[in-house]
Amino acid sequence: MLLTVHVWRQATAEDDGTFVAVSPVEAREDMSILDLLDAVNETLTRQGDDPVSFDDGCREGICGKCGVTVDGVPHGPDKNQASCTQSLRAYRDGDEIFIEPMRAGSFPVKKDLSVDKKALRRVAKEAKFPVALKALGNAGCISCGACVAACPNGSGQLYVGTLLKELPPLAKTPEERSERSSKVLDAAEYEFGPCSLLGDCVEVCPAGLPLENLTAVARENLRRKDPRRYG
Amino acid sequence: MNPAAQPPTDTTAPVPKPSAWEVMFKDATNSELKLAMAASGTILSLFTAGHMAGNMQVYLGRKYYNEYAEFIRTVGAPVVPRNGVLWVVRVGLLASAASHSMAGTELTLRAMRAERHTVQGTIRDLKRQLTGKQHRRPRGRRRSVPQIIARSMRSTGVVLGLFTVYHVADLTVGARPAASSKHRHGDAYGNLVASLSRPSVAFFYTASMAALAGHMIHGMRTAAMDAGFTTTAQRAQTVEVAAKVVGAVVALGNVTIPVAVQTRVVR
Repeated sequence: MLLTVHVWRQATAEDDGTFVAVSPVEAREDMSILDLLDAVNETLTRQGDDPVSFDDGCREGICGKCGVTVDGVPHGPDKNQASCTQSLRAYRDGDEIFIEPMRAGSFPVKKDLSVDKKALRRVAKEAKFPVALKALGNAGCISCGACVAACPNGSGQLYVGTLLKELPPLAKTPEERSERSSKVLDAAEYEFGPCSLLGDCVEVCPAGLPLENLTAVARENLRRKDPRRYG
Repeated sequence: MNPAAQPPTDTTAPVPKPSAWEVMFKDATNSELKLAMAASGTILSLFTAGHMAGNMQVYLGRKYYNEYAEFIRTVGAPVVPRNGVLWVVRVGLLASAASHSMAGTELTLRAMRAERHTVQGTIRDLKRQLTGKQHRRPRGRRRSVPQIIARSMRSTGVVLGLFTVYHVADLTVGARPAASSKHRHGDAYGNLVASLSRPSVAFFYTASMAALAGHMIHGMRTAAMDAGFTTTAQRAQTVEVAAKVVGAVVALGNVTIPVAVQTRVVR
């Protein structure tokens, strides 16, 4: 099928970006969003333009590096798939697609579709980074940031809640648990917005993290106030 | 907030004095504000459920309903003075409504700050929406009605606030033009029937109950999460069902009254 892809072009972080129409782009239903961007770049190169830059990694949905917004939906039209494992089954011949970077206040755009997702890392680092990585790994979170991008409040509560749910079993003492949770809560407060339980995060999460993880933030916060009662 | 959201720190520039609002919410975390919203929202929901249950007595007739209205004023007598309990409840509800809307406003401001919303950006988005230039979400991912209702907490909240002001002016204070011309203090039944006999008022009450159902259902679900209750999928499911049942029963129970008055079942 032939598609018209409106792709976000932004030269640097400071510049204003805009959508640029790229047409025709030859696509197949089984292509992922990243494959589509490769096709966009082929068309751009053929037309003598600069290729569009985007974040790219394992292309197997496990590294969490990739991620763009497709028609307003982080990662793309399929639920719970990373951009690299999506399909184009939602589109028909002649359709127009708008592809822009992941939109979140805490993820500044670096260039075109590439964003800086270090806010996630800054929060995880507060809990001793190797431990945080282990916690996220145990949950299956790939730190792609789609939950933050999907949230109209810029909240990272699915990520933070997952971290706070998996961190306690890894702590050796209750004090260690309290310290790590407390630091993560403060950092999350600083980086992200508040949660309104809209559930968009759960729909886009490639790891399929459940909605219940959100409540870990509330629990760890209550535990910080009264550790004996909320053990 | 994110470092990028902070204003640039220029040591030579005079530091603007924080407003009373900023001072009030300076030390409150998002989780604390959400707990405040959950607590005040629960109080308001409990009141709304009780209010609906009490009002069902309108079906028992004028005498019974007016006795119920008198009971509310004299409850606790002779230990408590007349209207004593009523005023304690009123002050409690007013405090809950105030803290609920203030915490909600602050959380909205924080969400906008976290998303780096600007005035120009908001105007651009509005223009896009109004001119139909906003691209649609992909097939299979368009928002369902429950999702749209969940995203409308701020607007349904404002509707409910305005509704409450009208409702108090109509049936408590009896101020024209909110109240009907037949309003007479002491005849709760007659005032209710006179007010809801006006088709426009009956329609407005019914429409407001749709906002109430939506706001209560998502509110109760969120309150359970903010109180740290929904730790398992099972619990989340239980809360989901309970919230829908309570929200629907309260709103539908209330809706029966304007419908009954309009169809002259209650007159």
